[in-house]
Amino acid sequence: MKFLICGLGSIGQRHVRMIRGTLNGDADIAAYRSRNLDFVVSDGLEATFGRKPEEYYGIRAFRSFQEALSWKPDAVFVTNPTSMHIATAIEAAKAGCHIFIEKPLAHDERELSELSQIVSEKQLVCMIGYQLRYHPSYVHIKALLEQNAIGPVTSADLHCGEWLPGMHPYEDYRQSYAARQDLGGGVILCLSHEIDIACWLFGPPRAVRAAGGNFSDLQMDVEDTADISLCCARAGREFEVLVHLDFIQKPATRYIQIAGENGSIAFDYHANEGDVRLLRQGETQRIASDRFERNGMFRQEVSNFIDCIKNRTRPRVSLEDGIATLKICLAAKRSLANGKAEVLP
Amino acid sequence: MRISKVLFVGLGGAGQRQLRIFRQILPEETVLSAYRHTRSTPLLRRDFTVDDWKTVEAAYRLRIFDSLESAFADGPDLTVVSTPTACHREPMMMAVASGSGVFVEKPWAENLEGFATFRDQVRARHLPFQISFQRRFHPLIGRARQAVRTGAIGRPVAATFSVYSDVRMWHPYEDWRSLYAVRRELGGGVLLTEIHELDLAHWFFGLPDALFCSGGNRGSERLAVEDTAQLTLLYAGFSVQITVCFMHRETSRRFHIVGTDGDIRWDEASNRLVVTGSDGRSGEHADPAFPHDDMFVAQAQRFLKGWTAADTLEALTAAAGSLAIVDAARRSLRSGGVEAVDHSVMFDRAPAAQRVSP
Repeated sequence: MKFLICGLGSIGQRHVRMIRGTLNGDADIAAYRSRNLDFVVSDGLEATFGRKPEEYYGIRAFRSFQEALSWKPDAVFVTNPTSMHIATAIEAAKAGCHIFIEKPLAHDERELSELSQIVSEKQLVCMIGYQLRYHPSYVHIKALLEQNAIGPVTSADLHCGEWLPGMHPYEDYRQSYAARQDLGGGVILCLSHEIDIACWLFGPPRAVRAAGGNFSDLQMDVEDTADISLCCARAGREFEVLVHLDFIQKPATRYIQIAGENGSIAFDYHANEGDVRLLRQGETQRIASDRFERNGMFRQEVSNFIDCIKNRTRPRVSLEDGIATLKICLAAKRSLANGKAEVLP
Repeated sequence: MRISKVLFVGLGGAGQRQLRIFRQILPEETVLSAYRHTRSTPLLRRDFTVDDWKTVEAAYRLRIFDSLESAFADGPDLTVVSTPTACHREPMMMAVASGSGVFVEKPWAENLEGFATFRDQVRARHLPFQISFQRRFHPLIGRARQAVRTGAIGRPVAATFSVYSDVRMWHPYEDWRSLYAVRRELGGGVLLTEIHELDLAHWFFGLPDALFCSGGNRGSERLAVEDTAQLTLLYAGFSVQITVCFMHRETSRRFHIVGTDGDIRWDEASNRLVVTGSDGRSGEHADPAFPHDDMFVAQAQRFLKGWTAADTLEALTAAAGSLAIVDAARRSLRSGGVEAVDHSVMFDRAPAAQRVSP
């Protein structure tokens, strides 16, 4: 299979390694590069400067996107800044390529319907890079909720805090897409995994409210903190999901807590531990993935994408899923700006 | 404060706890009396089980009054009000009018109606006032507040407070459906009943500018009051998320406060406080055997020994601030939008709810 990687930043390079790891010699990989930054980034986000990634990975590099598409890749990985995702994806889809789009899908809703239409008409696989859905503990939590293990949900908290300058220590955070409005940045979009997980676990919310802003001394023109309230419903019972996101925390924190009538679930991502309290049974079960390693999520994600292309099946995170999460993110941004609840259709 | 006579108005579970603790602290010669409206709660032991062998009156040698008028005509120095929330106002106002100090169970009342008059009379008559926000006397919660206010974790970025409990299990000696907490006419609902978390946010960070709130009757029991509420308090530069729920079978209470240079976590079940700096190094304090009663004892001792006018001012601020948050939360529940928190209930000068400096 032929893969074109559009954008060889850290996540683009990680996908090169994941594709190689999945298909070994059966993958023919090329990259389309516009910025031509010369550094190689490891799994641990350590950068080696002065090395061209295309040479390091032994892949072909195109300087023109049209030239790259005429190489006729089977699939295109869209790993450039968020604001360029949709235009890139539409061109790739028009060329008949399956598409993997890094999260978030986009920074606005323009051209989403055009992308959806092309993907549908050409029966392409389109997947969004919300790799947290492949985390074994989150998969476990999803299964518990589907089994109604803790009864009707009454509330949930999802919390994710990062230190933006530490996320990509090899680059000036002020230049990163995460810190720039023009590139589709801001904490709501960049740390949208929690919103995606909430949508995955609890379904799309009926309404969204958000507070936040640029609260830190970080030099950026986008929000660095957001407190989002999602009004959800399951089996006719309404409940609220609180999501906190920020770019200010040292050390990073990420956890999920869910309360149900018959129990509760708590999981701390960085401690890699949590528990499920099943009150009817009087049991406490441990949630942990002893063999968990971060790359495993990306490996499974890429493997799922390749399997879907081979079998023409729906990926775990489809274009529709990405659109649903994006709509929540954009509603949160609107609510943050206008102070009102945003009702979703 | 010289106290020779203490009047207890309302002797349900909360009232009897205060009675037991006040009896322990006050000198033997202090005369304790009571006005009981329903007299429905039997004598309770410290663990809230029923002691059938005695009456409350006999166990504590209480003088009993048949009316509030006769009770206040006796001239109590201090009145302890532990009636259902909606019944706080009348005895408090009568107490102040008679020149008695007031110790009231939280919340001050079901809303702030009459608060300004009460506040002004308390101050004009130099009367002692305290509201039972006993969690302010929890050693580890106090330590967490100190860490926030001294900048140990930098500037606040976010905070999450949550409390879950099961109102059906609160008072095993009575039918939970008759409990004030689930009855609107008695000032029930989780916002008022679990107001401690709102008070802690107020105590830690000051009064928020605005908030939004959602919630309602989310549990399986059909109640006339909200059993779950989730609030986002909006401050200049950060927000605080609070979940209060009293229809959950597992009791838990915790908070997580994030600052620019670290975070603070506390959990009641383990009674463990962890303060982590930005370098990842943690300091831990734990006291899993901490007796729940100790907060109430510390609170009563503080009130009965060495209470000052500044303490009364802070208690009035606590009473008003927490209810101002509830008032805005109720408006938000109706409007679905962000609602301003009314700061006019606070004092014109020297607001006790100081903001944490950025």
